[in-house]
Amino acid sequence: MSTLKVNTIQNTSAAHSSTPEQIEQGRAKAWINFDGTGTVAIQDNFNVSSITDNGTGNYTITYTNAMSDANYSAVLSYNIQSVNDRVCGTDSSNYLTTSMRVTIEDATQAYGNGRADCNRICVAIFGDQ
Amino acid sequence: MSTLNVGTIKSIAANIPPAFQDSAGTEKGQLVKAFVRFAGTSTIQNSFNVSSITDNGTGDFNINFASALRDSSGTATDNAAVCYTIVGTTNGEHTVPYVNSISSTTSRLEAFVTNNSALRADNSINSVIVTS
Repeated sequence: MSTLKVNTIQNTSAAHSSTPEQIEQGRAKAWINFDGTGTVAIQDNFNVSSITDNGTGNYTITYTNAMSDANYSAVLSYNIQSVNDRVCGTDSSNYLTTSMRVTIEDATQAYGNGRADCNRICVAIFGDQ
Repeated sequence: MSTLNVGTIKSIAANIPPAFQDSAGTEKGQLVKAFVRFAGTSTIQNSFNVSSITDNGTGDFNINFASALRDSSGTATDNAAVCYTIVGTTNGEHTVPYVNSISSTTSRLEAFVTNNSALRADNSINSVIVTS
């Protein structure tokens, strides 16, 4: 086991410089591609231990290794649906160090009404871990 | 202050990048495999591992990856996570971004006008990150 301790990494022309912090912060701490229809199926992931199906269009993503705080950034997308009024939702009260909730909402209705399952939902998490 | 000047940090395994681990050997995050920001005209403004954007029509694009996406075992994968966001349409309409398809070499993205399944719209800024 060896540790390389440096302040800056750059190429041999002294360009494309990165600090260890930039490299650490630039890595996705978790990501997932899953099918939310029927029995929820994880297609591929990093640092996700499980998906909980909370009901139609409502999923909890649980991390294998927790985040340091709940102020991380989640980037989401989803597959095309038969109607174009769906939007991804995240519930701030369920935005935790160990998990987060993702919902597929009906943009024409109040939050939580008219949710729908989606056959491909992608999420990437960036932040402190 | 110390600076490591290198041309390449190379993995010991083909098609599998080096892992970032803490002192306990737990992997802490993975680098994104591709990203791109492009205008609604399919003009690439910044990117990594994206060779081109194919404009399939208004609000309909294919992102073509320079190097195929691979999973943790180094095998080409169609199961990447493609996250797509948009900022403002070019004609002021409200749109929602969808990822139509994902393969190891390309991903099709579409932006539909809200509540109109027949009408797509271009957006001033399209941002995509890809992990696999």
